[in-house]
Amino acid sequence: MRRDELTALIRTHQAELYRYLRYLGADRSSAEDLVQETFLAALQSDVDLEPGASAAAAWLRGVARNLFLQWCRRNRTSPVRIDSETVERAEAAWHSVFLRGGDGFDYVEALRKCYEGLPDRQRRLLDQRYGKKMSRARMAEAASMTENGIKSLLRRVRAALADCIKRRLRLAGASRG
Amino acid sequence: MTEHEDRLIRVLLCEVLGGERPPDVAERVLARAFARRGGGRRWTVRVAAAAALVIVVSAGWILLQGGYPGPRISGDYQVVGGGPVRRGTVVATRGGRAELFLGGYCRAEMAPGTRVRIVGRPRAESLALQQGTLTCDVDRARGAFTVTTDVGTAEVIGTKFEVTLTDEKGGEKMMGRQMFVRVLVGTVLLHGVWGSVELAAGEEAAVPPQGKIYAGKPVYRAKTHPAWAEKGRVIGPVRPGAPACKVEVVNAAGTVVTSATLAKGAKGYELEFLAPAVYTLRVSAAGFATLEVKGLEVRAKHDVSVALEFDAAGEQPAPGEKKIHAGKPVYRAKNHPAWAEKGRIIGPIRPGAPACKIEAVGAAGAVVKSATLAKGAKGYELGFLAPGAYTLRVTAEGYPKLEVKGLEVRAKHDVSVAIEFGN
Repeated sequence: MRRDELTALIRTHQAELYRYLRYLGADRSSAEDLVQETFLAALQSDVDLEPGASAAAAWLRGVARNLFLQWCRRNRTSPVRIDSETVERAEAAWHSVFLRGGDGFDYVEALRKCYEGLPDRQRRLLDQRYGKKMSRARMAEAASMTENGIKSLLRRVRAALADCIKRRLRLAGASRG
Repeated sequence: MTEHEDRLIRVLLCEVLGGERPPDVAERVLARAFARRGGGRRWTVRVAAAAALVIVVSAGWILLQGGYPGPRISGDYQVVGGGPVRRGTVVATRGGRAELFLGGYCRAEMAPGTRVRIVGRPRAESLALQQGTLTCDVDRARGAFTVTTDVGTAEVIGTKFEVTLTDEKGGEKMMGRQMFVRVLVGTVLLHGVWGSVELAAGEEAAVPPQGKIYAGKPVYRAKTHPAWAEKGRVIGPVRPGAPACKVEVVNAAGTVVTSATLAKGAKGYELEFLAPAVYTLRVSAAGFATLEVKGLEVRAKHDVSVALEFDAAGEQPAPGEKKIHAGKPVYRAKNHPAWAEKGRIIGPIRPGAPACKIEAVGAAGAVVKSATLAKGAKGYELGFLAPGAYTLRVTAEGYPKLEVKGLEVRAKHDVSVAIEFGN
């Protein structure tokens, strides 16, 4: 693979691979390392990977998944306890929930729209936790609530988002016929 | 929500809300990859040779094409599905804006959250807007330019205009997609199956027009409901031609107490087991403004009946004003052995129609087929039409002329357009 081909492959797929590894349970720095290792593996392989092709995306995800499982086995002291069966189930959910026969763009767009439609208080809560990366303890202190209360509230908001996304995707699917 | 869905949403929220952007690992991977190979100098030479070849080939191609440039894009964008930007590619903006340059004479600014497919051909550039807003600046003297959506087409006559495609009216409610066009400089022709309109600088339009839902006067009827002696119902008929819709009963606190989702063509609705109180009946449907009937008093052992009617044209004639309404065209494949290569325009006419004339007008403006209907006719049929685009024209004494443009007649197909004469 030439340098320009590898660059195109990385630019096209790195964000999705990182997202995928974080979804499987890798922490930030491990996910970053594993994304790099995945592309190095692609460089060493003889597989013809066309940037943007769904086959290339699936092949890279497969490599990333195997590298992640190896990483889990090497890091037995890590709080992440993941076996191959769990990863397979996560992969199946990635296909059925996120990709839905596309590239996941529709899901991300639906999430954006649903987030925008949330009441101000819920949006602020999500911003603090996932945008500003505030700890639950700090959020609890700011809102005069318990940490468990914040945890439950966040879960309820995420569940509402999940319902809204499903509804949006269903309506979009229905309107496309 | 499953555990996997929950995790996916958390990961995406971090990304969307900016807490954790995916890192760019390209430089690091390339440094590791090509340091391993030890071929730094060799690849520099190869890249230089490849670049020279690309320049020579591109120059030759440009000369052959008469210097016509391909699509270019800059800004905060992504190519959906990856690959280079060319005709057929779908591009979408992320958090920021992006600029698309087509044919050297069209510049389309994509607002955040916009998604388009690059279509068209040299000197007849076109963008298919899938969502979001485009502001287009076009040198009309150098070529044509259109923006198409599934609602209609905006075609440049002048130079600068803005198109927005939205399905966001009313948030999560079932509302239809609308196309908003604002002309900044020059003139734009806006057309679709709903008709056409020419907009000049400073003018704006939303198409297709939002439909309206009308409710009849509530009627209270005492009923015997042995199963719910202390409860009441809100019920009612739905006039023919209703789209899929949602009917909700809302209490004084604004909470939805009960609701029903009606399929397209439903003839009635029934909302039961309501405790006696004052409620609001809310009706929503795609492409229609939400209707609220306030102050419905539900009594024990009583029905409150509210009739519903959907007007897709969104215009209620003023009292005394006569108007002809047309339903949305419906295409149906049919087996017409007698005219294998022909199609028909047909449709029902609401009872009480006056004597009228119905004509199919071809693209050249000539009447291709016509039918004169007697008073009280219940339907019409314009058969043996060659495939093509037609305008259906309906005229009747005392009524303004109705034209339904952009009807596509296909071989072995019927196009059905319902006609109603309103008072």
